[in-house]
Amino acid sequence: MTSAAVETTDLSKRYGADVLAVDGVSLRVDRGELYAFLGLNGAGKSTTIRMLLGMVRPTSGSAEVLGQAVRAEAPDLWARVGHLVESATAYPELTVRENLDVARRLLGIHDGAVVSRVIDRLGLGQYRDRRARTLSLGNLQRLALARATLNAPELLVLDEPANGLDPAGVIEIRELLRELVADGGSTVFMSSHILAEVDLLATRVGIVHRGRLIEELDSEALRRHRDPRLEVAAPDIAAAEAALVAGGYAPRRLEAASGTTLELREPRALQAPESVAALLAAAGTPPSRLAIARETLEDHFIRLTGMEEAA
Amino acid sequence: MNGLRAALATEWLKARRSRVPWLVLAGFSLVPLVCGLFMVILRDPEGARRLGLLGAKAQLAAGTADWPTMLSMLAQAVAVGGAILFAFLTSWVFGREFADRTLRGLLAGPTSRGAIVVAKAIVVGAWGLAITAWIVVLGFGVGLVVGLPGWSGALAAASVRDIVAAALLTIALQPVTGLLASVGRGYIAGLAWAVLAIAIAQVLAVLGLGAAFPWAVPGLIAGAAGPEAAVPLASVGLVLLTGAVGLVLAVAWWRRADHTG
Repeated sequence: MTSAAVETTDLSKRYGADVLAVDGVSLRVDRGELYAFLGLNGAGKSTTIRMLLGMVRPTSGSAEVLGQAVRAEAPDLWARVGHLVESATAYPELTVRENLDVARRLLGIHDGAVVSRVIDRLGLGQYRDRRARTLSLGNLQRLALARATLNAPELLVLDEPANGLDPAGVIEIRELLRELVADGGSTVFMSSHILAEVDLLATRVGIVHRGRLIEELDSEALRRHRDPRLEVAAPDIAAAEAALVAGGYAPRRLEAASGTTLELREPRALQAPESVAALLAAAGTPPSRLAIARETLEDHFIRLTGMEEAA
Repeated sequence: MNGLRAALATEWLKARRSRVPWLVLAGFSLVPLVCGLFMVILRDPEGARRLGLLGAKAQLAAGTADWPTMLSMLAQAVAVGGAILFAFLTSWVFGREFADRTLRGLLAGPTSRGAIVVAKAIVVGAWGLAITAWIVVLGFGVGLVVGLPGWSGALAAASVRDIVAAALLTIALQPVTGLLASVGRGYIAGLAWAVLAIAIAQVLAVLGLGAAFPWAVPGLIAGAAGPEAAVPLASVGLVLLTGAVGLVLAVAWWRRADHTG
């Protein structure tokens, strides 16, 4: 079996006695996946990413990248990995080209032409000889992405790659990542706050909250969340559920911080919600709310993390 | 050490393109110029007073206006000035990666962290030596322009030896500054230590214990305790050992610390 691109087992990081930044995260990202790692600020995303890159030592558990145990000094491994960790930075006194040339040398790439190619790919041509200190946040982010992709990495680890980019830049990065995965065979492990982008891009999503991985969604689950459904709220949810089952529907409970609702995905429910209302009223449990909803990843994320907060 | 050549090339480019090493060079260039000014004042105190170079009641107790005084002053100034300015350079070379948050670009790559630390130390050393060579040349140039008496080839050779030895020993101690800049994740800790070390060195030199404190040894070699004060070889060994331990600890810290910046 091919080794995973990323595999962690009970990965934890504790700072001092009080801060458990990452709490027993176990995940596996297969080759060719675009895995999105979602979480609120301080959820443990960046710490996890730093542990995957050997920048932070786990307190317990283990991490493997491209089939090798993560160590700070692993030249063969790191030559096959690209990364952008947190905010984009560059040497302010060096030009875009010089910054990339520094990265190229440190990556052990002898072909100097790779710098020009990556400058063109990231649309940095007109800024080639501009010092990094004069770049806008968006172009600094492009420079950081250019650096991360210089070595055509097998694994690209990105922490908020769309930070600072304008909408056109976000789309460009989306296309670049798609291209890297589809054509280049790379695996992408990324965190992002732009959930609409993640929804469009990711093949799998992991949601981390308070250091714990609380849910993973594969592409089927992601698609399912995007599909419309009829949400039903009622004062007596158990009675409403029983009435719907008796009526031939297949209600599914949806837990949220605000309470439990039922969801129906059958086309007949979506096409004629009034029939559902009539059925419930006839059963003596009229609905308090009936709405066709289409949960975005953002909605799902907020609901899930909200539930965790409430718990 | 994996990638040392690459690390050296990139560190050298960064140093060349930054203003900081050039500011250190410019700052250090004041040393021979000030020594030359003192020589002018010593040679003609009354003329200096008329020109406003010396206050009406001020006296200069530096000696006489000749080559031995000029070169001795230069050596001591290099020892003390080098302790500050080389530490400034080192704090920048190491600390800037934390202040500019560029450190993460140096980690998780095929170039080893040890190579990066060693390359930084080598670049500091190379810059330090280049600056020292420039100071020596400028010092002799200023002395010639001022027209100092008392020149001898033997004196010049001995002075150059003392200046270069003092500079080399100061440079040898810089890995400790680099370690402190790294652990302190910025410029301040290394610089603070440099200032504190000079103060401690002054006190210990006065107490006659300077030879036991590595940061006092460059000053002793430069003649700060008098031209006849011998510096034991063990003191030189202590300086080199301190620098080596500093380098090993700096490499170990870069390898083992949690890099969260």
